[in-house]
Amino acid sequence: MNARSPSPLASERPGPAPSAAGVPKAPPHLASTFIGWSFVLPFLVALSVFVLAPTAAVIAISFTDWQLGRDTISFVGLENYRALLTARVPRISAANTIIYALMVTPLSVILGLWLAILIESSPMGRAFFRSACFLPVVSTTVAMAIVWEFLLHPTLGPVNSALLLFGLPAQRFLSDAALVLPTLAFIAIWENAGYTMVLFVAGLKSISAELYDAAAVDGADRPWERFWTVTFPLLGPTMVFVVIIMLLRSFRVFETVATLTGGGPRRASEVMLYTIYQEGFQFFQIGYASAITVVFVAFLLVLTLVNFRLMDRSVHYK
Amino acid sequence: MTHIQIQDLNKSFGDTSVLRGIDLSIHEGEFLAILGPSGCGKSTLLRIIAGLETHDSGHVRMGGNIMDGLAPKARDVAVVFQSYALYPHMTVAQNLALPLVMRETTRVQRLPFMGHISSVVKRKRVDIQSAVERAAAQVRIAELLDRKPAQLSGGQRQRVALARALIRKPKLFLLDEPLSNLDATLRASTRTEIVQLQKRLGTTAIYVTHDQTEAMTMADRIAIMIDGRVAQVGTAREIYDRPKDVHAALFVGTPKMNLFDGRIDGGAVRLAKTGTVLAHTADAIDGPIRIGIRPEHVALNTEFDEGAIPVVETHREFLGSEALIHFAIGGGAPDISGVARLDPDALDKLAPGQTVSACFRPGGLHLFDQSGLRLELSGENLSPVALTALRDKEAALDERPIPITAGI
Repeated sequence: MNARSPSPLASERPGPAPSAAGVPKAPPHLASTFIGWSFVLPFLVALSVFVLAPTAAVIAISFTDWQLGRDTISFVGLENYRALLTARVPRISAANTIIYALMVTPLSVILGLWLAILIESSPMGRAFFRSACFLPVVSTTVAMAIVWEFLLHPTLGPVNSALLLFGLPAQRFLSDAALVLPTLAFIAIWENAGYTMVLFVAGLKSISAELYDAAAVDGADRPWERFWTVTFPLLGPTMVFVVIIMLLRSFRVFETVATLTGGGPRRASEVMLYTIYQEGFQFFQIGYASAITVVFVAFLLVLTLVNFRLMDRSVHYK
Repeated sequence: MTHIQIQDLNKSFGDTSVLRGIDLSIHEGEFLAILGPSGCGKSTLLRIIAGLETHDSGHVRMGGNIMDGLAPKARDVAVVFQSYALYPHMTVAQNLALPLVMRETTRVQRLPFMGHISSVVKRKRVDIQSAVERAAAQVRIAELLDRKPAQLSGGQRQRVALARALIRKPKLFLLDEPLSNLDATLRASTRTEIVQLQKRLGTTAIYVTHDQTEAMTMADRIAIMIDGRVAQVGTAREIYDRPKDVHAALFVGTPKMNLFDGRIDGGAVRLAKTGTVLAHTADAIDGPIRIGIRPEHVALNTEFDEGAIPVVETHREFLGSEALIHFAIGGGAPDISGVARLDPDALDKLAPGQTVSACFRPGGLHLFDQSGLRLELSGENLSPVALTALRDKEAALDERPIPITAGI
């Protein structure tokens, strides 16, 4: 596209431009094709080296029994995929990841939207609250996870002290199998809400003030009516983007699991990326880890496409 | 009967005073245009009348009731916005129905399944549906009801906005530059349509615009707003013929009214630059004034009579039915320039660069004092200087004698 579009224009020129030396130059459309490609090439190279080639490599490795550090490698066909279907850990891991994403995505989106509307509705301290909510996003997740570890510590943590103060039993947030996933989800929501908030603030700013005026004149002036008549529908495109970003982000959870729980207790917080990491870089089963990766990526791809299809149609009001 | 009464309305945004003591009354069924340059506060005034903006002091009355502090929906007004402000996620029919749905049904009745449960809701929905169809028919968009705003042209969106305004039969229409996003042809036809619609419905309308053509062609009366104040209220004719101040005079009329420095001494109205006596007055006011004359009241001629001013043609514009001659009143820098509107046939007698005589038809003279207010000198007292060359031709034009009395 880039390379071709200038050529019709070029061919309309009255004859080839004579070069300084009088030697006939390459036909103009070839020149513009070359210029077009020279613009696209750096991107194509980067895309191939950093995305396409590794992806192809992972797919290829997933059909082998390669172990990290071993010199021998042999083709095993679909053996890794068969193992994947029958193994217990990837199944638990997938279930945990899905449950985690189903907790994190909606709550991050709703909390972010609520914060955005709250902050934008008041002229006071907008910049301060926006920055405050955004801080968790710019902080290093691992560092924040360690802070949370302290906060949630069964005996020393202030959270449990507070619970005791109100006469509630102390909780082992990170080592209770029933609590660990919700706790990790809570940390993620705390971190994500600032991010979705910023995206929603941008979306809110693009809504024409005249629409709110029109709604007020038409009789939709209570906060809820304003929200459902104007704000929510017009945030549609932002909403699609935010939901997909949040889904992908929550499916990719790793840092908090690796730092705080290591997938425990009893695999209650085992998630996909952590499983892949363990299989690949702790058990050195690169072939097997690649197979899990391929399935995982394919799942995310399908999920994203379905999402776009379903949601996009209902938010771009054409 | 006065319908809308605005009394001493003031509004500031921070330190900026936007409206300064606006007084305005609008009659029942009247079409009033608020005309002014951008930033004069006209849209703010409209928003205050609609209830979308609060004012600092003063009152807005509708039918005698004070509206101050009432929410827009309690005022029974409808607004057509400049951007039309249609809800992009709703079809045309839903856009039109919203004002009725919001007013005539409760929150519970609005729930999706209520139409199947309650016969009251069902009947209301049928009523709303037929109201939507009637409103759509009035602005000829019946075939567009199922479309979304994004699928409509600018003119069609504009009609939808109009239909949404008239659907619930409000007591007052407020239109905020509704034609500014349309192309010239469509604008002219829509102008007529809006006026006809308004007359047919008999609803009072306030129309905000910066376009004098729109104001003059559509409105029963025009309120000229300059710098947060109402400079003049009157019919297009009144404002054009007897502008109350310099700003109103300059804002209405294309090309602009010529404005020259002048003075009155010993009863003679003189052009400051040349000292030419343009008229005599018996009123005893001496001092500097500003003299305004509309381009069509300037006659260019090759004969130099008494009261004629030597000018040099600098530029000419041929417009078909008329011609504009730009001229400079010479005699040393800085030149002061003016425009004359002539019959195209008169062009042949003149040549660019040639010195000709300009005569100001006395009936067309507008005198303003230094603060810009119109000076009213009495017709009897203001005797035109002899303009022999013009007299015969202009008998008709001079039927409207120059205004009167020395009250400033």
